[in-house]
Amino acid sequence: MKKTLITGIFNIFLIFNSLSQIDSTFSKSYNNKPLSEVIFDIEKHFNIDIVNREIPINQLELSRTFKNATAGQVLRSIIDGTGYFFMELNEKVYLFETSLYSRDILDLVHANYTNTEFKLLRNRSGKISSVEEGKKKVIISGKILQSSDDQPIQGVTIKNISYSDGTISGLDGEFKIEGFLGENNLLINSYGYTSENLNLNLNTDTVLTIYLNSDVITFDEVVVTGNNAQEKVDRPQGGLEKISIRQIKELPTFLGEVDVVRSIISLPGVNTVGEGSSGFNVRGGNVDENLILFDRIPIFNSSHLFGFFSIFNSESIESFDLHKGGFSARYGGRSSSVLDVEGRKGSFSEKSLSGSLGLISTKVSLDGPLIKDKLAARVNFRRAYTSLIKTFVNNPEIENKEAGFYDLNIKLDAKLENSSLSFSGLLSGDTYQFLEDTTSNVKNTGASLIYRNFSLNKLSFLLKSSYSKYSNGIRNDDSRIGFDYESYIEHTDLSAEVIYDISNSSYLEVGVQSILYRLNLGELVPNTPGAFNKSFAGRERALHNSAFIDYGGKLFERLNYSLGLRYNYFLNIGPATIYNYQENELPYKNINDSTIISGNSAYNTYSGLEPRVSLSYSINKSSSIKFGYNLTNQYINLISNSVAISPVSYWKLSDSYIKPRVTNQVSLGYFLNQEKFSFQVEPFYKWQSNLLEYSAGSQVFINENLERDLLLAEGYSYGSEFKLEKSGRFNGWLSYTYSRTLRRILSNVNESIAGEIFPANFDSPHNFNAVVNYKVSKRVSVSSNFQFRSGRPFTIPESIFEYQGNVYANFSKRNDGRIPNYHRLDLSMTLKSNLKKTSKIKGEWNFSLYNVYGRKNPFTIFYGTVGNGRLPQAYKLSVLGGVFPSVSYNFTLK
Amino acid sequence: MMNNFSKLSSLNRNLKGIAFLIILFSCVSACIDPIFFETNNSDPLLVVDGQLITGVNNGEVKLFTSTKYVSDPNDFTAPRMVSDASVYVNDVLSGKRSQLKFNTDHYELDDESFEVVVGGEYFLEIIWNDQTYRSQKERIVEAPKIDSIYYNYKSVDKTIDVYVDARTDVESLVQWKWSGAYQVISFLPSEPDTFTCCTRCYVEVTGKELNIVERNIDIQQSIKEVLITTLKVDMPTEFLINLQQLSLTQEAHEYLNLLKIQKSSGNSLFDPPPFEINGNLVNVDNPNEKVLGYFFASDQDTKSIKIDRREFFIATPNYRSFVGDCRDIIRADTIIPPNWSGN
Repeated sequence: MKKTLITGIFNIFLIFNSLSQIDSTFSKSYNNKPLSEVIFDIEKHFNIDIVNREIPINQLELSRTFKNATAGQVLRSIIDGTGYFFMELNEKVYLFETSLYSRDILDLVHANYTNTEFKLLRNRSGKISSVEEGKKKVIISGKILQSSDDQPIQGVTIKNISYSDGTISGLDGEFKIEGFLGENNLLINSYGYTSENLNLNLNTDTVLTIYLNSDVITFDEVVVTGNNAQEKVDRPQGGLEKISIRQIKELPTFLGEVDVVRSIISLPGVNTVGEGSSGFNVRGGNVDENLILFDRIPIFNSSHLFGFFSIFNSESIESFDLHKGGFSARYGGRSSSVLDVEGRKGSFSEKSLSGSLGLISTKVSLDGPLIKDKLAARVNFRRAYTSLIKTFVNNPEIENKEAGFYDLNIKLDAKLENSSLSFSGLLSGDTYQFLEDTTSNVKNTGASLIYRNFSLNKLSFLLKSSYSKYSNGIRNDDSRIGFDYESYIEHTDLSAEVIYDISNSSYLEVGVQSILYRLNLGELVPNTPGAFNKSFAGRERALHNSAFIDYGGKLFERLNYSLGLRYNYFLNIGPATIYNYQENELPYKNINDSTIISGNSAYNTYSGLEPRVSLSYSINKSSSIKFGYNLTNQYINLISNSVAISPVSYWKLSDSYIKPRVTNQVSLGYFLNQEKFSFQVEPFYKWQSNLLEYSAGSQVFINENLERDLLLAEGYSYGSEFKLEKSGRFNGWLSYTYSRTLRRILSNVNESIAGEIFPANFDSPHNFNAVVNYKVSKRVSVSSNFQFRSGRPFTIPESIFEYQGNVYANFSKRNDGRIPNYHRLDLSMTLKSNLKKTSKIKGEWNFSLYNVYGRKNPFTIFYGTVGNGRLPQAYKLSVLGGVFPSVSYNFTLK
Repeated sequence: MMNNFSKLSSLNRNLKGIAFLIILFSCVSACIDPIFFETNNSDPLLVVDGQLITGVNNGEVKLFTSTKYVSDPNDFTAPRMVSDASVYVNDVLSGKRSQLKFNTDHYELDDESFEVVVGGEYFLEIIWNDQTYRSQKERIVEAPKIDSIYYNYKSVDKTIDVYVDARTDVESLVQWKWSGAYQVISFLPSEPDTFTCCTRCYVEVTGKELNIVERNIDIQQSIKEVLITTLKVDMPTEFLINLQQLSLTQEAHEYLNLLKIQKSSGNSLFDPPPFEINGNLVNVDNPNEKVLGYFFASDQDTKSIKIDRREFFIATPNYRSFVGDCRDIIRADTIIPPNWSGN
């Protein structure tokens, strides 16, 4: 416990001034006088305020004589031996019951009455009676800072359990919350930091500086807690999921790679179509409906090598939030979720080198101050290689082929007076060779610059600019049919946000954002001039302007709310060629003529309002009910129509023919947090319009007139998410989601499902995850992960027929069958070394078994032909064919 | 010239190499296995392969039933021909109705009074097993003219490619079908050590390629170098090709295009997902029963060409010989086919 104190997650500096310093003395004799009367005299004589004086011992009769005694001497004289002690806090004197406080504190108090710093024990219980307690309100304000670098922490939940008030720290880490005179019990929760419980006895408004330690960067004893359980209960927004990076690191890995996205999939409401599949699906949303931000840089492809690995190097991440619903109006542009990843900052005080060696990659991180206490930097580099794997896989097909990826993250943070400036940059690339002469190159490039200012009382500002480019290229070096192919999406934005803390329980946040999109939809150029004609699907540009307002407050003590409104104005900008069709809805088949748009003129606009509502009703201190509603408009689409992931998928903007996707979502959740367990259940319903489906057999690659191959659809998703989480030495969670994701094609099609509802490609009704961690000792922890999900829908062959001399398969209506269910068990063990704090090198080994029982889970079905090409044949592709052992070693040098 | 489709195919072939990644990162053992789906809809379905062409007695309908999808090609059973149905064609404008007669393996129109004309609307009606099946109306659009038919010898591949040039527009989408014949000469040993050329047979062949015009963005388009078929170099000296350019409605073109995509897809993870293909026939008595196939009504233009292998100076025997009676060859006849002499 003492260690916990020492390494504790917060430090509160309370200044004890010896009462002996008070500039007067007291002389008086008492004979069988009640203690309360003596206290009253002391107050009056020394002009001090003694709170908590309604104590059971007030009626003790006192007979004593004081002569030139200081206030401290008097108080000690009357209090000593009564089971109470006194303490000055904020120029008031408090009386405390000794039995309720630890020996540590009492020793500190009695040993040194002046300028003593001490730390309160966690989870202290007991009450101090006070005549004023529960009557007079006080304001508790302050700042939450990271203990490592004094940087403010935004988004920390501060809940006054005694007063049933709660707030969230702003951009500058500041907070303000109401309390009562007397004892106030503050619960402090933040993702990426361990939760804390702070008892304060107050008689006036109080200013605190609270330091939180990250639960990420230390190799010290790991206390995995349900760190966001109380926060879940307290926040007005439902649908928010968090896993600490520490927890992720303890989960079993695939080929030794700690994977953020893979971990997200173990959360309720999050699904994927399988290994080797880019992205994830949240509450029935398509993979392109997730707004993925890394230090506010939008990420358009979160995977390396088609989803085998995440683009996020675990060493570059501080924390992340996954918003499945109840979005703040601050977020816009995507329909289903926000994955807000915060990059890991460098230390302002200490230099370190860390890294890891794994089967597939090597990671190196440099961390430390460039200017001590002023400018910190962190650089993370990861390089993956396939050579080692190839030595184990005796397959001539892959001998002369290469695949690999790299990513580089740079983060700079500068502390300025009442402000901060941070830069984050990322560069990542994939290279994989399909054939000996064909290579694919995928690149993500991005940077953000964020300036925060909190010099004005109650007001904080944020200015941000970011750039992101995702490009996808294929090169074939054949002398006859060689080509270069490229598509890309470029995003440049500028935004400003202001947060105004109206009161301790209400805030107002407003902001504006302007995004410029530039896209190349695909261009195929022959290497040899004249070998074939260049193909070009066109370029697109658009400006997406938005403004938002978000207001949060409290009603009737128990009802927290957050109301938001976002306005979007989207403009397609030339140059462009617009084809005019005979039809007036998707699919547009017959062209009348075309219009050339030149220059920068806007040729098509969309606008839309997006209301956001989050309500939370606190049933009691540990449980709440939440309601959320949000509407979102999405103006970009990922175009891909293949049975599996495709290297030639590309992004496309809404335009005259492809209307913005509109998504409505409501959710209602119950959240309960007990000491060791937390539970949540959250049903949701989502309905979407202007969804895109693909015409039968449509080829979307380099398609200049994509609107001829798209169908208009609407979608419905509904379900309920359950999660039971346990903290402590034996910790983890069980999650189960029942959900359906359905579609209805509105366009006129010659298909059996015309007008009918059918399951979407990623509909998976049952999804169960069990994550269990057990900390065997300080050095050793074991972890397991089990996943089960229903097989995804698929269009299946029902019969074979002959027509015009050829044999064909008669396929069912869309998604009328399902591939077999998916389930998998993974195990891992983490072994730490050099746990001493003074050790200059610390390390940990991670041993993993992925897919322990070697199940060949089918990922997808594709079709070939047999019988001299006459008969269609279905094949199942199992991405994982067996059990995958792996080992990795992580180290830190200081 | 490389058209879009072939470019796509070329790229898709390259993309198949991505399976390399799958092998690399996951599959030490084979991870691609045949899979079989149990379906609730495995009852045989009626398959209609019918076409009505302008003129008189120029209609033919083949009826089959579908067979069960099997995972093992050895279990495949050939589609069963339906010969006990009553098949009618109907002229919407004139109200005429004519029953087709069954002949060998198909139903054929044998009614001099039933003339099929451009602009006419026709539909097919089938009565089988007390159920009535009916097609949607097909309105015949005029077939554009064939500009030319020609061929090229590819010495590298040792093949002869046959091409067509044509003009089409939105209203005259087309399918190209070809049939033809080649000559086989019987060598029957009448006396020891001597060979007498006894019989000349003409073997009928029918192309099975599904050739349709690609729907490009141009309203008027010149179709150049559409590959109709590829003949192997060991063809007989003379090979006759009769090309039909058949007009298609947009719906018919869409149907054939989907069949073509299904046939050309496969063996790649990056192909479009499988899809349902519906024709233009329904069971009137039970609309829930799916009817496979399509009934076309088309106008046509024809052109023939005889390919003479001797043009290419190929040093192989001049004639494909057949030891025995060439009339024993399937689809062989001693009657000289039409267009043989004129080309």
